[in-house]
Amino acid sequence: MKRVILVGATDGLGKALAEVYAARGFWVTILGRSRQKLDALVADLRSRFPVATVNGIVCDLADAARLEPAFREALEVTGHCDLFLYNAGVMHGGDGVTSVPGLDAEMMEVNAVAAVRLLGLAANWFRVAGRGHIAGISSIAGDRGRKGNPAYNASKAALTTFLEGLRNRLAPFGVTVSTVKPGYVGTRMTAGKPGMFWVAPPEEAARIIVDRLERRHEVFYVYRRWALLGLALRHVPRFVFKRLGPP
Amino acid sequence: MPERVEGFGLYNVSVSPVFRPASLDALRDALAVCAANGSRPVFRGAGRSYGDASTNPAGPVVEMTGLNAIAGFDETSGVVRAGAGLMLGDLWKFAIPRGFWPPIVTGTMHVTLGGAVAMNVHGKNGWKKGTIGDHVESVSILRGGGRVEEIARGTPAFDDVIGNWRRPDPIVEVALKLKKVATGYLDVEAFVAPNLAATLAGLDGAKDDWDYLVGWMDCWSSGKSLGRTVLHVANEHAPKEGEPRGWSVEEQVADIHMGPLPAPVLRLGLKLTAGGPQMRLVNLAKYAASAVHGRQRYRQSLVAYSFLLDYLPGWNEAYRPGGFIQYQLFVPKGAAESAFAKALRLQHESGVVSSLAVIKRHRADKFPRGYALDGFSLAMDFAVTRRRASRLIALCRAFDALLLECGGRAYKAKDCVGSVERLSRARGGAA
Repeated sequence: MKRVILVGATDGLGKALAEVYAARGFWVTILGRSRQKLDALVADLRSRFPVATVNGIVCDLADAARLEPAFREALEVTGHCDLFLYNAGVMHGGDGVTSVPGLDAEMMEVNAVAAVRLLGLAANWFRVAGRGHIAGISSIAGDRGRKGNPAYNASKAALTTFLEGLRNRLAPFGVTVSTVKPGYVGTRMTAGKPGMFWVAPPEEAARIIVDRLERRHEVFYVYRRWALLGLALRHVPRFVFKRLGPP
Repeated sequence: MPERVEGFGLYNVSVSPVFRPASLDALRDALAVCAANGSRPVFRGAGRSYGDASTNPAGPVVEMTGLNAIAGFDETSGVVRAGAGLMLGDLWKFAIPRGFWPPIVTGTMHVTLGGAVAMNVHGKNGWKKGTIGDHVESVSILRGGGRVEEIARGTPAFDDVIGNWRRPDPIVEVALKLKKVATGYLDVEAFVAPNLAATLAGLDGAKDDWDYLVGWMDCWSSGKSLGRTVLHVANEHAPKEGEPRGWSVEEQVADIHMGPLPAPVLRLGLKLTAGGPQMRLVNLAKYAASAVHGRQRYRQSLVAYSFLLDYLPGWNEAYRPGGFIQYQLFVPKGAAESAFAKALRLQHESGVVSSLAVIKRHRADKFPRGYALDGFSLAMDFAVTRRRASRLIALCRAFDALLLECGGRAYKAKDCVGSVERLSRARGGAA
């Protein structure tokens, strides 16, 4: 009976998350940039899962002025919100040594700044509602700054820290805040990347995430084994990480 | 500042700026603020609708309980004219010392007149007395320009107001014809019906001889006992020489017996059992106790008989954090046995069984937005918990399909999961 607002769900992991919630018969409202993709996904989910109540709201996360109206429209069609799940994210690879400021800034914009804007709106709503659940799909990539993609790491670190702050702020109001840290998920974002391991198919990752969110876990990795790697990563001394750290 | 606004079932919630006007002018001001913001308000009475009828997902709520003055009462006709925010609880306290009683009362006295008209509520006397719209003489509406317009019954405009919970212009005053009562008591007869067919026959057979008809169905029962019910029927108690007439508030309240346990203990007990499999035992015990006692007759005050939901104030809080929903199936008489049997079996198959279910007999609603039909209704409470959420929503959608199949209806005051809108869309109406 959950009513879920899902930001960024027309592709990859988000799409799989939308499918899992729809399959459970819940209310799923998807915020996505592309009208065409959104309409197709909503129509597909409605036909496959008639018990569910699926809606789509067009929202370009780069358009700051659009975020609050989109949030209100999402509430309007969802009725209320039990879970606000921020999944939107972009990752621009590069040659591993050259910064591309425009692309780096876009990653910060979508993965962190738009997240802060939307999650802030949701946080205010949940605080007054006195219940509910906020979750963000961050990444193990946010655990350390790595040489391969500093901006992506920074954007996910910002999201992780922001969610931690919200968790502490909202705990007295009965609101749960979860940070999801997937490792590699087999989506378009990671396609063709060399050196990947423990890759989770998006459907499996989505099912794990939904189950753990249902149990109100606050911080978790997908798969669990990434937690060990995350722990190790966070504790490798700086001088070692600088020389031997992963790309 | 926005506030949390909840439906009575505590499952539906909104975060809304709330206006609480205490006068018509204040209401006009509130509506002007909403208009200036471009937001469309939802009007809320006492918030006793179970679902989302009085919450507003992304806009303001105007709580009408401040407009609660009784403007006049005609002892001859029994017509009372009162603000839309007047509570049924205040109305009966006003009426009973004068020998009157509201013609229709809900299971709780904490509903407003305006809310009751907007939902066109029914009571346990639905067969004989219909819905509250049948007893309203006129309604006054606050029109867009701030003008109050009184609409008398017998006009299409009046029919459009009754049961029209979507109206953008609020009901501000209601003229309601009260019922003259010889005493403030009812003669109640309680008996059991061992299965669904007997339940329906019991209610149908009693409908012409008894004013009030209600049954408490044990949804856990199965096999030959499927749909077994404890039935309560009641008629007005005739005055007798030397007997009190029960026209005082004190006499009315004196008949409310909660048993030896204090309210906090009862609340704790409810918290521990609500929605759990323990409710199977509670239902069994209720049925078994009535079956052992056999057919019982007793006198009970109108208040004690009518407002069972008020016996334990705040009982709905026991259902936090998930809250609960109620689904009320309105089914035509001819289809009732098969539809209710299917509704019960669906619950058994899904493993989600209603903790409390009430069955009533209704007559057809004559208003265009009516929901009642010549048949029966079965109202079922379900706790919303994480473990059963998926099965519960699938069950509700199966109930929707059942209603579509048998020509039944859903009722907005009880709708927590959008069934009214879904049925309307499926039948080609507006959502």
